[in-house]
Amino acid sequence: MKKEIYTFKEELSKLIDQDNNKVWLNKKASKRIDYIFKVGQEQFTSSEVIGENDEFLLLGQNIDKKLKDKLAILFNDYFNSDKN
Amino acid sequence: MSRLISVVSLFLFINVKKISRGVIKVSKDFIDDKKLEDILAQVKPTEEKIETIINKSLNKERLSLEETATLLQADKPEWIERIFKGAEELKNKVYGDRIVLFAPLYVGNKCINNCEYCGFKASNTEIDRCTLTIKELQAEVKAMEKKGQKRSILVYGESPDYDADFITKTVQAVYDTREDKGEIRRVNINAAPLDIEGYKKLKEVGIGTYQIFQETYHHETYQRVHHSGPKRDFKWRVTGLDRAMEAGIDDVGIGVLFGLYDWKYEVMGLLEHTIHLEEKYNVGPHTISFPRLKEASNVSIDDKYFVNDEELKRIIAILRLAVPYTGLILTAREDAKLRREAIKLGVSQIDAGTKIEINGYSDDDDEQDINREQFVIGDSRSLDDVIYELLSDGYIPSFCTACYRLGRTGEHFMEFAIPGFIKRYCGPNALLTFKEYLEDYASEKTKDVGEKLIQEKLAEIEDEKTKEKIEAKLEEIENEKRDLYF
Repeated sequence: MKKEIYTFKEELSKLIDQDNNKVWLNKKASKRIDYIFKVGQEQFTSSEVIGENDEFLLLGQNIDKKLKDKLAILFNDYFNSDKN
Repeated sequence: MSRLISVVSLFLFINVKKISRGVIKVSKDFIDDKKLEDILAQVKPTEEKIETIINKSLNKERLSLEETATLLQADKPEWIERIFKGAEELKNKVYGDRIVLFAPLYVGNKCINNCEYCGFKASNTEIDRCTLTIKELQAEVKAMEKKGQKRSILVYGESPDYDADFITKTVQAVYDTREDKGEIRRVNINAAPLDIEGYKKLKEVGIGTYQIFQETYHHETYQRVHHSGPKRDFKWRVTGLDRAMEAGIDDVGIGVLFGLYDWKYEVMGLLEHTIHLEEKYNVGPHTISFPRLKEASNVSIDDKYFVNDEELKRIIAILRLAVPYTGLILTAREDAKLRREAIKLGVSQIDAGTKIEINGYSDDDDEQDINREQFVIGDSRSLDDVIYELLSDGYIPSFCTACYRLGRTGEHFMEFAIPGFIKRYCGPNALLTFKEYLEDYASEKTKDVGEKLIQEKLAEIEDEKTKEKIEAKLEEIENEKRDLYF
């Protein structure tokens, strides 16, 4: 999984505008969520859920609908598909 | 027979620990007494040096050991005054007018250690030993929730009964217990150091901060006051949070029990521990605690190193300047008057409505029973009374848990340093959680003052969009929505 998370980050980086978006991957642990990595800079806007499964949560800031759809597909490809 | 079982389980506990320490590489003891003492002996404070150091801190940079030692050795009254002013300025700059509130919950007082200063020590036969059952724990949590508590720290003695599995079970029980609109949203832990596997179990149930107090960083003193039990092992304890980090818990708290050894040395120890964690894991401690020795059942301690009020204020101010982004916790061991002064100098978190007796929250009796408690508390006021005083001083009480619910922890938490972070997140979230308190639990007089203060704080927000967003969320809370945050 570690390698997959690394490649997921690489793929995310290609989609994200470092200055104008921020996404960060987290692992769920009861009420707490644990940060794994981030791409982009703090945007000071509300956080929204981009993708989610039982174990992981991808949050984002300043993500428009088009980008959100792309990111959600990527998240599902890595974390919600049968191969994983 | 039960005594025999206790002896056998103690033997197994110690030896299993020894075995695990053999298998798991224990990190190196990073505290060098001589180094810290030499730095303290060598620094020569001057007005100019103190000014430069305070300015560095006001730029929100962590101070070095030498710089901190210079502040510690600055004994002239005018220098001390300057340090206090600098700490107050930094406190306002970084934390604003928020004070985070929590309450401790004592789960069990069984202990196999013999620590000279502690009422729970194994040799104290006068104390009532007990451990909350899950049912009793739930009753305690409900009683806390009824008062409006949202953040708690679970406290455990060191006993084979309180292993990682037991702690995990109790954390889960706290998170699962809800009373009406009440819920504990963040559970921190104060317990004995664990092995990496143990910490991993706790990480899975979503603990907040794992707190281990070294008590004293001075090796000789440490050996003198820890007579027997696993706690006697300085290295196992001082590297306890390294193992937590290695298990993925990057949210940790450190502390010293002031009064065991020279206070200036202990501040250096706390800073050395911070630097060690920063250098090795890229993240320092989330919090630092600095309890002072107090009266406890069957405890008599040499008062040579006792810390007076003035010295405690210096400790707080210097720590504030030394580690600008680390939360400073002052507990209800201290009386209300001192806590009020200490908040100005740098304290960012306090407990309130505190009961340190086992079953203390669900028991209506307000009298302290020293035979059921670790120490005597100095501030026994209710949560509402403490909040009322904070409001009168212009502070916004905060029950915020947003950072750890949004993954803004550990390395990511360092974005805290970005200008605007506090203004956009911490301030608004404090208002939202405080509004919940006013709606659900506050007395009439607190509600009156609290609502006015919220309006004053809203009026101070210059950015209209931000203000509108906060107002919208405040309205949602009035319409019964809960647990909102930015």
